[in-house]
Amino acid sequence: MTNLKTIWLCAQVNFRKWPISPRIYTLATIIAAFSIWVFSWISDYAEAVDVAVTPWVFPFLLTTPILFPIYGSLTMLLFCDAPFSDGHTPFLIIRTSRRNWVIGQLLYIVLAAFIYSAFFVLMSILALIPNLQFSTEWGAVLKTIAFDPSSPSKYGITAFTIIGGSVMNLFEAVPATLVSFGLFWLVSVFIGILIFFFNIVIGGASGLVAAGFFTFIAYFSIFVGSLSFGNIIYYMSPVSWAGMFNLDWSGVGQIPSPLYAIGCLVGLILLMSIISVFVFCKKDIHIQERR
Amino acid sequence: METFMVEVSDATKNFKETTALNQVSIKFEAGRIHGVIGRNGSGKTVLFKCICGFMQLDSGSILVNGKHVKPAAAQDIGIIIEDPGFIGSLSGYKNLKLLASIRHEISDEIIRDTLIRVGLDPSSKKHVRKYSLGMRHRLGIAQAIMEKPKLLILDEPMNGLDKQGVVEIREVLKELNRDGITIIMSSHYAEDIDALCDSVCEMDNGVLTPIKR
Repeated sequence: MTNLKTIWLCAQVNFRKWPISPRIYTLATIIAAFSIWVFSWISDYAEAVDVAVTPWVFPFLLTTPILFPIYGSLTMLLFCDAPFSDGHTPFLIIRTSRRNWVIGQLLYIVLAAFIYSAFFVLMSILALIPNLQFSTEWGAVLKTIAFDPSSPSKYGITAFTIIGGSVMNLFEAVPATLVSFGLFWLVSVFIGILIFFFNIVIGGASGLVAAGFFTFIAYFSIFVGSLSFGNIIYYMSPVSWAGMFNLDWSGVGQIPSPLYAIGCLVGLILLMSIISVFVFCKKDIHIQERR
Repeated sequence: METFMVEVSDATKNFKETTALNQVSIKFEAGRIHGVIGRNGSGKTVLFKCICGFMQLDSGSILVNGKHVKPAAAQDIGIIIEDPGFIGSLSGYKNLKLLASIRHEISDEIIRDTLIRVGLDPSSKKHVRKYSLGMRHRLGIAQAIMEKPKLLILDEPMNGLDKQGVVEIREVLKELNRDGITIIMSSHYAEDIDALCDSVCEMDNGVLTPIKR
């Protein structure tokens, strides 16, 4: 069997454990409830004005500070047990070699983060039902809220996210959703690999501590970070980059550019992955029961 | 001339202040069944993990079939170490088929025969999560033996088995040994060791001592 097939098999094994994992069902339920909480007010507003809303609300998911700890916690829940070893692992490692197995786990993080991000997008759309219409445009409802943020309150509706006009001025609806999805995926991979890296190199619950720290930085930087540390805090908060509003798309330079954010994320992901593989191949394997 | 499947020389392994293996030296002859006895925490599992390459020695060396154990490499060893785990959402047969697809050395027919050999029904659709402890252990033994590796490392293979199961698995191990497979096993049950093993050694506080029989 070629290495690639073996690596894919090692990743696939983790997905085969999903159907009986209470954690995955819990996560899916929380994401669904979270999406309804964050976006259903847009549907209520659409109903109030009697105009259906287009599905492109995902770019506005991470626009308020409190949503970052929630997003970070959900991502930590998905990857908390990295590197995903259990009683089945010795049977795989003895057949595949440690290197193939650990690279398989990295591939799993990338693919699981993709599914996780796609599920968020899907839930953000489903939360708009029944006042949903398909169009590739932003649509009247989102544009109205963006350029007149007080309009929902006229109908007694409280907005839970900021529908920012700046993104609408720069992007069409579909590209904005794709860019948001890409950033969300990349940051989710970063959090997964961060937990994986710390759990392998240091052990214990160090991965969760590290991910918790970066999630806190994201929350902190938006609230008071720049007052205490200046704009540099935005450059040191990779979890913040999951939302496209926290990147400088127009070249002003006060917050990180998309190129800086993507470069840092990809660079850190690669660096932590390489070190993790190297360390895992040398370290003793301790098996723990997965939950 | 005697040939040795596993040669352990001056193997030492420490965990912080605990010495799990204290200059262990032993040679396990090929084609025989070797028993390792000792109370819990005496270092048996650590020795097995070091032979499989899951743990690295602080000093000393281990040769398996004449080659140094490489921690990162795949090995032709069948193992049961600690509680065997499987993919709970699949049947026993599908679990074995998935593992067999890695080496791609055995047919579906052999997988079915192996399941029958350990007393499991290959046509059962029952998911492994619904298996009893004894059934899980039988499946663990099946995954270890299905590819007929040259060496079997079995850490408490009879755990969770009823009396009938123990008798059946003993027979399976004897048959495998007759086919030339070397088996190194640990057991809490003296009867297993008496009934199966050609040689026995005892692990106590990381020190391995051969027992004359």
